[in-house]
Amino acid sequence: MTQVTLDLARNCLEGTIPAVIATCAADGTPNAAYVSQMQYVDAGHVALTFQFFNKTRENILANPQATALVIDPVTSASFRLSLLYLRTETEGPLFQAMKARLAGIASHTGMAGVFKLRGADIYAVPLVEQIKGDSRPRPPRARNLLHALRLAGERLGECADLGALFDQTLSLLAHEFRISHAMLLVADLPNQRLYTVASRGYAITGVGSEIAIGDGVIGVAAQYRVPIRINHMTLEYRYGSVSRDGTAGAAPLESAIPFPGLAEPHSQLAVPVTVGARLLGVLCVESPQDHAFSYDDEDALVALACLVGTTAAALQQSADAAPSVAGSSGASAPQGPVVEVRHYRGNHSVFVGSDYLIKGVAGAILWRLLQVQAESGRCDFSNRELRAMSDLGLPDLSDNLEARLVLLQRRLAERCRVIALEKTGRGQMRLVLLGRLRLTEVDD
Amino acid sequence: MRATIELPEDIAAFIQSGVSMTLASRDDRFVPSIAKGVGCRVSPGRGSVTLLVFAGAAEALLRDIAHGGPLAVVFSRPTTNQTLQIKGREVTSAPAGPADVALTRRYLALFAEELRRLGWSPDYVNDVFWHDPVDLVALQLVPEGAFQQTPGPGAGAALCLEPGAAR
Repeated sequence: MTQVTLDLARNCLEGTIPAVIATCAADGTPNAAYVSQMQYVDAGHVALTFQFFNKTRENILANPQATALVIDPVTSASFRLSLLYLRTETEGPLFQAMKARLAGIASHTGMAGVFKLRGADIYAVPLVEQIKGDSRPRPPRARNLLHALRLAGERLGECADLGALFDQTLSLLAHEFRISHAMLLVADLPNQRLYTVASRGYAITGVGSEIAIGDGVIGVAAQYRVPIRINHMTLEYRYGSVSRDGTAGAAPLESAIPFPGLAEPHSQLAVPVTVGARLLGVLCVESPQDHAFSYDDEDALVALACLVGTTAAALQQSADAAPSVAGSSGASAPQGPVVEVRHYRGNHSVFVGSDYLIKGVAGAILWRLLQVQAESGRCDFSNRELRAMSDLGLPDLSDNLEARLVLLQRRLAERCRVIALEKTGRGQMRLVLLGRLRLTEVDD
Repeated sequence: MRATIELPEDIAAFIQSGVSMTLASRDDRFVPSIAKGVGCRVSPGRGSVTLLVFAGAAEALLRDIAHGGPLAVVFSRPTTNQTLQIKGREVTSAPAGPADVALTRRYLALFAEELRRLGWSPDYVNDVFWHDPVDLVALQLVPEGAFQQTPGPGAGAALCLEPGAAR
């Protein structure tokens, strides 16, 4: 019997092999039970799902002492955990993380509709012992997460603007973390939405597609500021076909942009990107394989998200601080047929010809730039002057203006041949017109 | 001598069919102990059940049994989630003989076959559960009750129960 730290037994808690728990009733009758999910909380605590008022539940309320046995699915090592029941949480980040994982486990084991999380039972783990026996060596990892994080720290620091930061993050995920499907979404807190600013590994980029905060793994990660990791395909946390095919459910004048996610992800990990207490967005990775992401991957992505959040905040601050430039007038007037650009005042959606381009704050910004350009011929603008335009609906200084500009720039690059937005320096941009436009304002 | 129950035939067949098995007891301060079982046989009259465990992987549980601790055993078939539990207070411990070593080999082979359908290799099952056979201990339990424990709201219902037995 060897005493070890709970951290070493963490691989046993992935749910591949169900943990078992022994409890004892007030009259001294023992009980053994299989556990749907045991979640690592920290080096001294685990949490168990409370789903039914069963014997285990009855026993721990009368006698908080318990003993669990867990098995490593790779090395075959077994561990015994001394447990002491502390409390039950029925809401909050840990509860939500466990609820999402349980949904994955339930659908994998044919228990969808049977398993319902009532609470997360928190236990202290005063002692972890490895049970005597032969175990296999852990095979070498396909990737070195610590080295990947080191590279991330170096390369993210070199990014000159937010767009480069988003792309570098996804590039690091693909090449250093060996994760093929990833997306980055930025939070629009006043509207309780998240919008995609970059993705990698999907048939479509989905830039501009939106998800409600609270919806699916990404929305729940944003709402509760907690990493959500699911190791099996589950309908409960799937993004409906509505958002993926981009047709149904949208308002008549607003074609929703298709969401980039995998149609049937078997593993998903969504990590909030925060700066202090402020939510910046969500980093989400997916895999078509079960159990693609481990506790270690979750740790690594949380650390990566910290780097992304800190770097993004610094870049945004410096972009906003950059001075306004004297407005220069545009180059030679564009030629070609006239293209109509319509702006719907209600939700600021902008259509170029008959194609939906963008809406919301990014739509309002584009419309304003086009108007100024049409009136004065100016084509150079700065973040600082956009901030000063109170009618744009930029909620306050904490708004992710720079991220909205990245979104606008990318949507234009993907969907519009006559308008482009170029970065010309820190906090500076140029509107480039490649065709003749007719601006039409629509009241709806 | 307390009255005992006769295990129904289907329960006896189930627990001998090569399923996952976990034993629980407790000490005098009601601190639970836990160990994996590796084999099971039911007496001809179905009035007692013998459970096989490796001592090196069940130190605390065997100590509790030696001090008169009661026993609970949960059996579960991974492919169907069918689960039931048997409990009793009368437990005797003895070193396992060659017949029980052979039975344990067969039991784990059946269990490995069950787990193979879920993608586990027989080698893995062997690595987890098999230890030095001189370490094998036979625990004979007189069941006082058997309980349904398949996950769901019906869990905990008595399948057969001696009047007045603890559950």
